[in-house]
Amino acid sequence: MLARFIVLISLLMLCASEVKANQEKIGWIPTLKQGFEKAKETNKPIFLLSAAPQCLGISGAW
Amino acid sequence: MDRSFLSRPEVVKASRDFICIRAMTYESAEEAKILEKLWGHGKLQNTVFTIMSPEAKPLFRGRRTPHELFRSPAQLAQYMYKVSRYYTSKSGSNELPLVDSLRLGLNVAACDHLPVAIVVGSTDSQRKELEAKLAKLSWSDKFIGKLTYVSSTPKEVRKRLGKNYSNGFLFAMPDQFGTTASVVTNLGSSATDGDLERAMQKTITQRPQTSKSHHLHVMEGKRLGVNWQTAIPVTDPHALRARARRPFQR
Repeated sequence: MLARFIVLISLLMLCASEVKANQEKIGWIPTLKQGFEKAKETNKPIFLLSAAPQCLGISGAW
Repeated sequence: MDRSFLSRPEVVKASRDFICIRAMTYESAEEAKILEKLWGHGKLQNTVFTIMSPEAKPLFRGRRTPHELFRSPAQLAQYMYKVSRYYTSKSGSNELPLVDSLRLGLNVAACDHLPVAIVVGSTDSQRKELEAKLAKLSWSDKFIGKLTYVSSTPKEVRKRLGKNYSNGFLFAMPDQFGTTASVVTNLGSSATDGDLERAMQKTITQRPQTSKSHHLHVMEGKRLGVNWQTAIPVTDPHALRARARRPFQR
């Protein structure tokens, strides 16, 4: 019974990670220089967001 | 950073007709000058959002987040469609979207809960050759936006990851604070497109993308003595006030 439960939870977690991996995301260019150059080259408008990759000096969080 | 709009499918779909730039505030003095101009009302803030023409002319004054202008993600997506229809786009070259340094790249990957792909090359020309191999895949429908990309030297990689790696590709998972990473797959410089694709696919499904509480993350970082030094001083008055207080003081 416990073994079946563990297998079921593992399968659910695997599915969840596959779903997350398949979720579409914005394709960011991380520098203004590269982004501006690509916009000129492709004549595409720019969606610009700047954010600080730290909070109160703690990295790993926007 | 407000993620509620940016993860919505309608906004992601609309973003495909844009060049999406996400700069790192306070990590480049040169970029800060431009961002401060775009903000347009005082010192640079932690976050700046705007939409611009292909010639980099802002269509409106900078805001902190899309929330300030658009009531919903659907409204933002609608605006984006209107803007993108105004311009006739052309195809362009695929360049790997590289974060400026390994140190910053690991941090950004940790912030995004994403894996990091590291191009390792001893010389500029070696790195350029390897970057070109990865570039097309990075912009493919399967992988767009799902990894952070960095190009670095073996010396810098050894310093950050604690092990020696020769020229090639590393696919890794950053630690919680982006100070190091665990390598999932290590490929040599002769890796084929198929090898790279398999490695990328393996890496993006490697671990569940659990959301950690922001509050707990910062508390734990303080407890462990994590201390990220920005390239230029923070100028957002809200952030400065928060730093002056003790954390979570009531």
